[in-house]
Amino acid sequence: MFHQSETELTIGSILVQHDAVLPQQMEESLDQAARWRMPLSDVLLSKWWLREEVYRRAVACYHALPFIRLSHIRVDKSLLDPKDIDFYLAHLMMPTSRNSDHLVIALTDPGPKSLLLARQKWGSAIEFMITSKNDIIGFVQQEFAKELSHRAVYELAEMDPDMSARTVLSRGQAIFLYSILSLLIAGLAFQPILTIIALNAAMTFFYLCSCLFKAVLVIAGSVGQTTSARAIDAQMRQLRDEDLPTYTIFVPMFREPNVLPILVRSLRALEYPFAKLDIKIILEEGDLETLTAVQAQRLEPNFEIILVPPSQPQTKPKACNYALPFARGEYLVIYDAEDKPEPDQLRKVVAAFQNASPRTACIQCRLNYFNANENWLTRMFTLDYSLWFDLMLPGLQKLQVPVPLGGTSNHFRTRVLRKLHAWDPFNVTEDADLGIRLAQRKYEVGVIDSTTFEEANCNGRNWIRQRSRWIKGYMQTLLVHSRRPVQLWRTVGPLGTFSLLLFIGGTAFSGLINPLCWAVFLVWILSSASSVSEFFPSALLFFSLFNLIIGNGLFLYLMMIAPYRRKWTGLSPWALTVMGYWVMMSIAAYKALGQLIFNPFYWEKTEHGLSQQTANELALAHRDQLESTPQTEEHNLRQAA
Amino acid sequence: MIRSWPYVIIGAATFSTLCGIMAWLALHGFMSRENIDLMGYAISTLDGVTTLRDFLLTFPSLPYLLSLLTLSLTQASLVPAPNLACAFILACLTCAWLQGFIQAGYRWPTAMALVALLICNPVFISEITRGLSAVILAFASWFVATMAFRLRARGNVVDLMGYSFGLALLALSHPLGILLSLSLAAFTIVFLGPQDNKYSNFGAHLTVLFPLLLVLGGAIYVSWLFTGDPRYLFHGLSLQLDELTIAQVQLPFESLLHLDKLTTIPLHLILVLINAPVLIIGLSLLRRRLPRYLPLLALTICVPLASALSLAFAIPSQPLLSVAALLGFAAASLAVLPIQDNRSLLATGLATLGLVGGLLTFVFVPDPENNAWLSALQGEEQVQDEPADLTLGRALIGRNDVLIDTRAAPALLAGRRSARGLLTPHDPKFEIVRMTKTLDTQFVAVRYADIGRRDGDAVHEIFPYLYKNGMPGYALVYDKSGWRVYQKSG
Repeated sequence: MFHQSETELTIGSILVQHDAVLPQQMEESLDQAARWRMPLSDVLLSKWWLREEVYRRAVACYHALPFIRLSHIRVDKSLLDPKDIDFYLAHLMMPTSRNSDHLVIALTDPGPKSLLLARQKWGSAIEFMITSKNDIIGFVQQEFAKELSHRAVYELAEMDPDMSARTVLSRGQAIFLYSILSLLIAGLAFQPILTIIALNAAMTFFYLCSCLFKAVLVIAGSVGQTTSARAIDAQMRQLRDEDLPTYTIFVPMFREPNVLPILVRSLRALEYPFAKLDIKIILEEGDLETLTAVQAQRLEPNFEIILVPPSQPQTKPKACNYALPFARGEYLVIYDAEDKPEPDQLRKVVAAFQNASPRTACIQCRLNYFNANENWLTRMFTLDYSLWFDLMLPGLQKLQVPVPLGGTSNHFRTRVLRKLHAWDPFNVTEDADLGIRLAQRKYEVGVIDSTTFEEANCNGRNWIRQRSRWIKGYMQTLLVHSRRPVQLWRTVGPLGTFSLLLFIGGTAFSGLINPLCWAVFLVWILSSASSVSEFFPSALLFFSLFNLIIGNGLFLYLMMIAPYRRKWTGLSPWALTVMGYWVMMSIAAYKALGQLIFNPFYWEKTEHGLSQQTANELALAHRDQLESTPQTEEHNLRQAA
Repeated sequence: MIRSWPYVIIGAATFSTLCGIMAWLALHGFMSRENIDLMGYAISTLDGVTTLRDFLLTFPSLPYLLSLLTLSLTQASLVPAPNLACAFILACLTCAWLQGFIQAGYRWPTAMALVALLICNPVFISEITRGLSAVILAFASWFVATMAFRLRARGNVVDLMGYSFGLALLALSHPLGILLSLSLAAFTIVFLGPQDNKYSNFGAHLTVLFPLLLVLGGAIYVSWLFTGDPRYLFHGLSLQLDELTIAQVQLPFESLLHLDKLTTIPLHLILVLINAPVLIIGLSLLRRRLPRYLPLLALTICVPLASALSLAFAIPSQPLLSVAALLGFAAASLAVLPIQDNRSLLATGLATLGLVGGLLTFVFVPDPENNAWLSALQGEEQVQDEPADLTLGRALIGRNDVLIDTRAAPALLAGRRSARGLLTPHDPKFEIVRMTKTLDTQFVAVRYADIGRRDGDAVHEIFPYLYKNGMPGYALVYDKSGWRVYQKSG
């Protein structure tokens, strides 16, 4: 059993004596702090039983040190070094001024470890003042906004330029594409039939490989899923609260003030010691609407607001990069504002990390939708996601090839993320790109059986906006990772390269060439094969027919079985209408191609909160909030007193 | 961790033994009708005298494709290509059954005994040495039954896919396979667990049956695309079995009215009882275990049901081939018998009973090829009853520049062992002959007016009087069993 330090017990009794907390609250907090192996302050603060300032004042009182608010004093900025930003944030201490020959250090917790660190950093001529965590974080944010912003945008591009999508096409790629295009034009001019046959053969080969590869992935992903899920469940049950590390949760938001209550409700429902959650709500500085909504939520002190100063590109990865130095958790996960992770997700992930090899840098959880049955589009989207996350990603993991991470619910080891210079802010599918980068650095990605439910896009235009961004991101990812083909081959192997081409490239490419194939098929049917038969020699015709019947049938079947794992078989018949969905994909693919050429870093914003189901979820969240309000008011009144 | 070497040894032993038997049969002149056709189709495809149309419209597809693959890998082999493929599949099947029994908790000696008792069924041995369909049927039926049990018990995606693809595999193996898969499809509700049926019965059924529907739909589409008749391939099912004429193909369900034919259903029930007694006894052993009992019941019923469907669709029933499917079901069922003290004894007893049943079936259920097969096995040369096409093929060995229609006579190529030197309807020169109606080839082979054949003889169509009257400048050099060959004279 973990015992609280003498210091904390004394601080606790000071707080009780001064009526800052009730004796039973202190008893419960001490008990929890002991069980969870956590500082008393974190437990007390996470329960909202105390404001941080009150606690820090008690600490200052105990140590006979002054308590200051950084906003109330003049900090000597010449003492601050941008290189030390990570140190200030990790240890919550920073120099503020010079008092004769002593350096004054503001810190939150003057324990022996902090004192030792401060001595190592600034020497022995130091004296201390107590301040609050929010003061230090707020000050660093304000003072180093420019440096943090530069890091967020350019760190990867400067440290590893070949891995950044900042340059869309490398010189080699431009020459290669130009040569291919020239060859194609020359071929069409001088040997049109042969060229068309060759193109036709290439497309047929691509489809054949793509459909076989997907089938292999689904089979590989399905075998042994239950056993592995059971093993993680068993491991999870073994975990005690004290074994759980601090967990950082990133919630990047932009102009979505309405949906936050859903996530807040889900985060509060997580089966994880709440005091061990380090939640960052990441907002753009100019997004006052969302900021007001967040402030109106009366969030616990674990929820920290990180304001990202305006700069280009204005993308989610840039916002996350900006917030990364503030993360204190051993693990880090990203959730979207409307996400509903399953309550045991974080525990499962910790168990999975403990079970996995040390090279496992990321655990991807499954994504699916809570409004699957809203309309045709949400049904198709659910089928698509079920296939992707429930069957194909586990298949990629099983085959040990690069896993393009999904948009949210990817849980990282924070130190690895920092080591890899985090996300690429110029790539609009930064997670997929990061998955490939992890594989290139010989890190592994695990996929586990825990779901985060999101809102499926129920509006056609909004869906095309979202999908075009994804496809553009896949194109960027493919371009980035194909710059050094030999290195790619060496690092991820032939199967990894093949899977990258088919899985990432194929998704983008198929959207572009599908309309061409449909047009050929239509002409073939309408003209009774006569007008196109010249371009289909027997063997090619056979494979084309194979793709037409077996290939398309297989794609359809894969969509059909996708919801079976969740027993959502009511969705399966909708797979028969997948053609319409493919048409929408093609529209999105052409839009993506256009954007890649003319506006490569533009982040096409997806609107959330359009679904009726989201409205219901919001209503539930508001109801919960109302129910918890009286208790909160009571605390606030006591604190004020 | 599965040790692989015992399986490799057993598989290799099975493969060699079967190859030995089939080489012996081939050496003594025995070649089944199915093997002759498969060889013919494979040779014509490999020698490039098959159009895409013929390639796609050849049914059953799996035996054909496997023969083709084997022939392309083993051009000159003592054992005919379909038999080699058959031996290989049987070796795989033996290992799969063995592994299935070991995983089900049987000890090695019992598992090996069970496999031996199952594959030594004389009807099965006789059927697999005559073609590929029987062994594929046995494999597919075992696979589909195993997956059906698993689907009901665990309900995993991979079980569902296995079961669905198993049905499609059955349908591609033989016309009987189509009937069996349709019969099994009727019991899908039993194979799906209550959870699967709870949310959407229709969705679950559609997912399970989709590959089968795709195979059938694909057949309809390809038939329509190449012949204009969507039912072309299905007419072919009846024709290929015993060369019925188109005129004889009956409308669905019409034959159910002929009471005498209904005896086939009780016959199949008896076949189940004697060849796979485990299906019947298993029902009583598993009566309190619904997740196993219901699939077993469905498997037991589906073979007689398939025979009823054969009547309905006017496809001649093939009781001896049904035994192959029954053995597959029996192997899957033996693996799900409840674990109890005397299980090994009981299973071995049931498999032995099945073997005895197989002997009885072999003796009492007639088959036109049985006698020839038995006598070849005993070392007697088989020279009589050879198909006319095969004899002609042998006669054409070494003769080139022969105008002939091989489409409806695949056995001819099996006899000649090559299509090189033949001018067939796929050859542009044949088209020139068709257009000019003038002969300039060294040889011309024509068949007697094939009334009722689906694909008539193209040479006869161009030269309607050639068979009867010959052609100026050509001399008759071969006249046997409805075929005449003329050679250019002077």
